[in-house]
Amino acid sequence: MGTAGGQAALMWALVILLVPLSRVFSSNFPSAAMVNSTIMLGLFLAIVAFGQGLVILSGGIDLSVPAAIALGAFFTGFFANEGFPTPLAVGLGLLISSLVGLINGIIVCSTNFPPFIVTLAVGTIGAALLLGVSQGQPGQNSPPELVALFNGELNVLGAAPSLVMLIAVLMLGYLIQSRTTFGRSVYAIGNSMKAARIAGIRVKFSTFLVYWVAGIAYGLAGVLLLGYGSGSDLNIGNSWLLPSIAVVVVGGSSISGGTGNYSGTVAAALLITLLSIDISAAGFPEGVKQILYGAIVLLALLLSKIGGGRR
Amino acid sequence: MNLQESTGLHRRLAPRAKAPYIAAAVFFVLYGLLIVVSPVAGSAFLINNFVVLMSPLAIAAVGTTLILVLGGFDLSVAGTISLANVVAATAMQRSPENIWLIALGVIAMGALIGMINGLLVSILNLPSLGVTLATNIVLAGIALVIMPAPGGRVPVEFTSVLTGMLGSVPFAAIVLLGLGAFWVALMKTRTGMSIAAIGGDATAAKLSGIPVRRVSTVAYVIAGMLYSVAGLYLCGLTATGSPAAGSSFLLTAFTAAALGLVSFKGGRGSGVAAIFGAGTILVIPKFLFALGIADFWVGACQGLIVLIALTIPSIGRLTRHAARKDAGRNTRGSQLAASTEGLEKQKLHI
Amino acid sequence: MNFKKKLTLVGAMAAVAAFALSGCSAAVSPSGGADGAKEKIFVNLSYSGNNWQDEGANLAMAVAQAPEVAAKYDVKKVISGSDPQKQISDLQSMIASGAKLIVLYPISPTALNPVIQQGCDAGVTFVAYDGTVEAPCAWNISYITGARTEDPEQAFFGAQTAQALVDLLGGTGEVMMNRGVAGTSTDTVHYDTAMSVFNQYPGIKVVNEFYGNWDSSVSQQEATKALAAHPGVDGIWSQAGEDGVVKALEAAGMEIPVTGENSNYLRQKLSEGWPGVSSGSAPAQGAVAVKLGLKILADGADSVPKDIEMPLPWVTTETAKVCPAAEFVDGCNFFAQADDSFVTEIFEKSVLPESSYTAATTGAAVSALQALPSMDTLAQPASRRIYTRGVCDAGWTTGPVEKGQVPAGLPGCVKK
Repeated sequence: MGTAGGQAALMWALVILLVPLSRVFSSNFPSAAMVNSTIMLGLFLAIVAFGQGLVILSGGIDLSVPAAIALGAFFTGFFANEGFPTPLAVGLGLLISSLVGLINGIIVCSTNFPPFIVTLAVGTIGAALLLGVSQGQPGQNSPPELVALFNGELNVLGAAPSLVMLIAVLMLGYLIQSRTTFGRSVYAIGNSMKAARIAGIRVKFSTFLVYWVAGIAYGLAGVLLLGYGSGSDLNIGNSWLLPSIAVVVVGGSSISGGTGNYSGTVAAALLITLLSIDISAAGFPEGVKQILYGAIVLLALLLSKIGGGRR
Repeated sequence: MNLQESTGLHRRLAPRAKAPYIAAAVFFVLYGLLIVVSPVAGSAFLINNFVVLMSPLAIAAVGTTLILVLGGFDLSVAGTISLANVVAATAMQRSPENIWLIALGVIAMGALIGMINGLLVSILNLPSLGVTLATNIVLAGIALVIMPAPGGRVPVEFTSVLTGMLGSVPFAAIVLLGLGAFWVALMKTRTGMSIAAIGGDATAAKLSGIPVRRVSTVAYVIAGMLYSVAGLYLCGLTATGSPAAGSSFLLTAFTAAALGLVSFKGGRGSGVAAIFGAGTILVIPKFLFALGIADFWVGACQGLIVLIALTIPSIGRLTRHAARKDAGRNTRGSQLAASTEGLEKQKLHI
Repeated sequence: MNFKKKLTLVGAMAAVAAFALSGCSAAVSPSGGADGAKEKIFVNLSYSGNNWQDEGANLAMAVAQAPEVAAKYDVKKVISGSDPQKQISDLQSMIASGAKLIVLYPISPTALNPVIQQGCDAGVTFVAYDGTVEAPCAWNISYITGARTEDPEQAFFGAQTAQALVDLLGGTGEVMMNRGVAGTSTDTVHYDTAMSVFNQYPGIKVVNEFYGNWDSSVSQQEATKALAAHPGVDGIWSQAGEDGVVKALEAAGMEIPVTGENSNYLRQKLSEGWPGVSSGSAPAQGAVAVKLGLKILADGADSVPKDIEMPLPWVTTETAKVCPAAEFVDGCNFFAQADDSFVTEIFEKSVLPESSYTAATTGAAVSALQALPSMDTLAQPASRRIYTRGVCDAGWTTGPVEKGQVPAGLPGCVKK
């Protein structure tokens, strides 16, 4: 945990350092628009990465991210357009999207099937069922309350709602991961399942909970993406799977579980978003952008290695 | 203690040793059902079509399986296939007289990619999933730089060999047979056994004198070469190149390995079974099509079949357990130990 | 205990399997029987779940299931996703099952060539819509090289919208480009023809380009990033996903000219005075492709041209007008009740008079099919063949097209 904390501090330092350094990429940087965009786009990534990070912390991996995001977005829009009040529509959307995590959790904790393939299969089924239920028709317009979170009209005590949400997500995520019995048992399971069991931790129940909570997090990201775009296609989640894993790794979590902290993950989400804004500003061709993106992930892995992180 | 160990070992090895047979049975039953529903699928022409179609995935899945046996995850499968496909299509259009030389060069490129992956994982001791996630993104980027839009014309001299018949046997079937034979032979060599030993328990393998770094790197090199061959075969199938050619392989290659009953915890798995797993993936939509199943639900059926395939080893275990119970042995302790150990390894090798 | 658990597990899995199989077989469509009497038509779609694909598929099915078609043919819809290998496999299955006509949305212009050639040899008719295929035996019906109805010399979505943006900017200014899916030929054609226009104006500077994947959400995210770097940009040229671009601009408090495709939201904004142009790919193509295929079956291969261009829709700030109901009447061109990313171009009065909002949103069969008029006026000029077939016709060779096409000088085919 110490080394993960070190990596988190390093990530935050890099984020803060990169804000003025962005000048290299564009003469218009740094600017308020740049910081705002980073926070808004980083928020989605931070929420998705909370779920993925929890699963990775427990020693697993979750490939059902796209399906859960799409379910959350689609059903929130669906119920809102059926005339349900927005909070209820959001609740139902989250409930349905969390089913993906629920089923992942039941299968992973009650069998010893590999999470990689279980979440892949469950995600495939979830996405196909969504396609079948909707008959290919995409999500409908978002309820106006969700749109208002992102279109610049609303502010909370003078701050953009996305900043408030990011801080709330950071604090809540940190509390769940590092200050609750549940969070601590996830660390223990990720470190050594045998030891966790001997220490009296309810391994199966906690493992189940990890996947369920993760599913809720993806659904929440879907709900917010619905508001951001005031509508959603059924493949809205596809572009978030690989970034969610990359952010967790860059944030200093060990991909084999047991170490990491959510503050590092949030910093990594902001860092990667900020870097992608910088790369976008520099006007590289798409292929070069991807090469740079891959190189950043590799560099972060090396950094965490040099920083003394264990495998 | 001794008894427990031996039963534990039996439990671990027995279902996997049967994996090729189970995977083959699943595949042949499904293809047989396909022929029942749609008799034309049994014609030589359509069988050749099918074997050609499954070849790229089957070849890639063998590479994926090899790294899974080593106890790692290789996500660079998609990027390597895209790059190989793009490089081959570009180069073959430019100098059609050197197609076979180009093919060799592309395979050598795959070996180089594999070596980079292998060195990063084994020398720097970085997690394979993270390393190959990064190299996969980089490779896809390079493919996009080389070929910004689909194109390139692969000469018919190349495609007709890969998709044609050799006498009365599909050339692709010979390739897959050769690949299966290669796997069986590899696993009998010292290197092959070392790969499985490292995947089973890296620390024990090191202690028993296996050169872990060298063997791991060799495994990644072989896998990279296989992905390149898959990319070349895709050129044969489509007669062209595309910078996104490999992206769909990222998940299907792992699904094929799962249908080949590979252990995702390292140490055990069969490339032969993965070849049949690839066949199963491709026969499922054809079977559902022949049944006239409504389009939207096909994905759900495919996912369910993967989950059901995962339970097959458990069913095998259950029947053996029943037999042991009849013999009046108490194996509860070993089972508990084995199941804890399974979960433990699951976590370590991801 | 453990044994019991295992038993429960296996039991549960068996139950799931049984449920799955019963579910799967329950999904068997009633028309899927082995009544060998009717000839088979397949509508083969790519991925699904966005408005464009959904409407295109609905309209195609609405036409394909019209009573007079259903009486004669067995019509089925197949979804191939975004993996060319899966589409190759599905096409093989269709050919093997004795298809007469396959109307397809091609995932790749080149990768399907071998399987399409195989099908042609077996006597199958192929009609590709929106995207194109290079296989010479297939019919192509696409807007990629299409021209405006008012002036058939003004061709190419990319070039025409780029010219419109230049005009809106008065010939000078900073421009950003929202491209489609990286590595696709459609994106490349749009981009290359647009750049050939921008390059003619020294006052126009392309400051940034990004890939919105023809997706509103991705376009919005990428535009947000690019706008942070270029707050002084004067105009945005966009492919599909332009509704996301407009939303990113709104969030940044900028109202600058946007050219894009046919989303309901862009047209709504245009009608409220936002400067810009709405043009591009119409989902109506899917239904026209089905009608074209039916005509080929009825009247023979020579009854229609092999390469057909759909006219480019063209709606500006001056002409954007909301429809009172679900019809394009009195020059109205978008719907009050539709989603933001709904693609408005579901009508093509000259060749698809039977289209309706209901057909586009639900796929309900149209009540009566109108005869397809002569398609000769929509034939693609041979000078633009290279963009859709990869080669020029016999007797033509590649070279810059100077006459009969605006902008002049684009690469194309010229008579030898």
